[in-house]
Amino acid sequence: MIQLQSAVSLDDLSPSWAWGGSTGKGARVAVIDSGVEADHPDLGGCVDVAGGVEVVMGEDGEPAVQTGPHEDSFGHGTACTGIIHSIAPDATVTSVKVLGAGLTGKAAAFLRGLGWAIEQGFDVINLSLGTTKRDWALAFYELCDSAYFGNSFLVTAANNIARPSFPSLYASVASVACSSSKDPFRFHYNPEPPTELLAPGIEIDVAWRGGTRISSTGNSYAAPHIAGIAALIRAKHPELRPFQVKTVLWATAANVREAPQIPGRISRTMRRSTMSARTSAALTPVRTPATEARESGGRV
Amino acid sequence: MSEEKRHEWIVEPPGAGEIKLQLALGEGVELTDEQQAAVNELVQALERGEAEVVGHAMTHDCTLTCTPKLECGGTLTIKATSQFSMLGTFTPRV
Repeated sequence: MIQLQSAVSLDDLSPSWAWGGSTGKGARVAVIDSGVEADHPDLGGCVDVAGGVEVVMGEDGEPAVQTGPHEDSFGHGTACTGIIHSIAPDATVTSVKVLGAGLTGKAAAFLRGLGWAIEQGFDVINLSLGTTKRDWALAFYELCDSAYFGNSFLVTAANNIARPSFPSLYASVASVACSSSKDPFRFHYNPEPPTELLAPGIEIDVAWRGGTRISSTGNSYAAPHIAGIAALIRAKHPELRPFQVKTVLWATAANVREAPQIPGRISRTMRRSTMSARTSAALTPVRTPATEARESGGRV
Repeated sequence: MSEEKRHEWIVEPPGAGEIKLQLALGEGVELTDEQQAAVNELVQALERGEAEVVGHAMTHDCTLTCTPKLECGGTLTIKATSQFSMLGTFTPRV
């Protein structure tokens, strides 16, 4: 039998225990997005410029990873990084650029960028993007599983509209939609997966390209709130595996902490009043390769 | 009534270079298999033109709940000169 040196009771899983005193120091976060404007004044030098990569499509149609500095082609990656930095100021952020000027990109580049980040062993990987192309679903499914077992915590934004978007549908990731909360540390647990967490994402003041700030909305901005908190947790508790980090997030979610506690039971009484209609739309259950495999009796 | 008022559109026509599609179903209406297949074919054609990967920011003012079966009663606007896209513009905060 495997003996553990120590264990933590569910009762101990408070925000204070989880991230109290943590600044994210030591945590390595990858932001897979449109690039990051590293010298943006609101990013406080948190970006590992030399370590960043851009995935470009070669003439042969194959994605190639190019190391070194790059720009943010849209502003979106800078916005996500700014949110993470505001929550975990001492975490190091590395940009993995896979999106272009239209905030769009190729699935092969996204897959390669995610694979690179997993190979590098980042503690937290923020994915405020996705693909609706089912042809790529299995490849992302397998890659997300490798991150889960390889100890990288993936945080993904759910699609803003009620359409399946990969990889936000998988159990191996923490899928996040936006709530109306304005407190960056006030997030909620959603008991109706695949989107399991809700965080601020509506009319968020974010850092933007050109050293500016704008107000913007989307699940894209909910995910980095959770990524930032996960960075705090992983910095303070590096021994936690991804499933344990997700459990800590569940236990520290506002509606879980505020729900009536039933001794001896994990509370399942949740409050959904803070969810917006937009968030609800993003939570429509969808079929994944896993569910299809289960129903067909096959394996993914 | 002013000249401008008399020429106001009830349903805004498509702008230059745009195609505007509207699919609206009344309460209790169910599509026949043939109609459903036609809608599915249309949506699949639109989706083929979509970018493979997109960021999940709301870069538009769309409040529709669009699904692969177009279960909304709103208006879907497609720019004929480009891919199916809902991208819009941001307003910088001063």
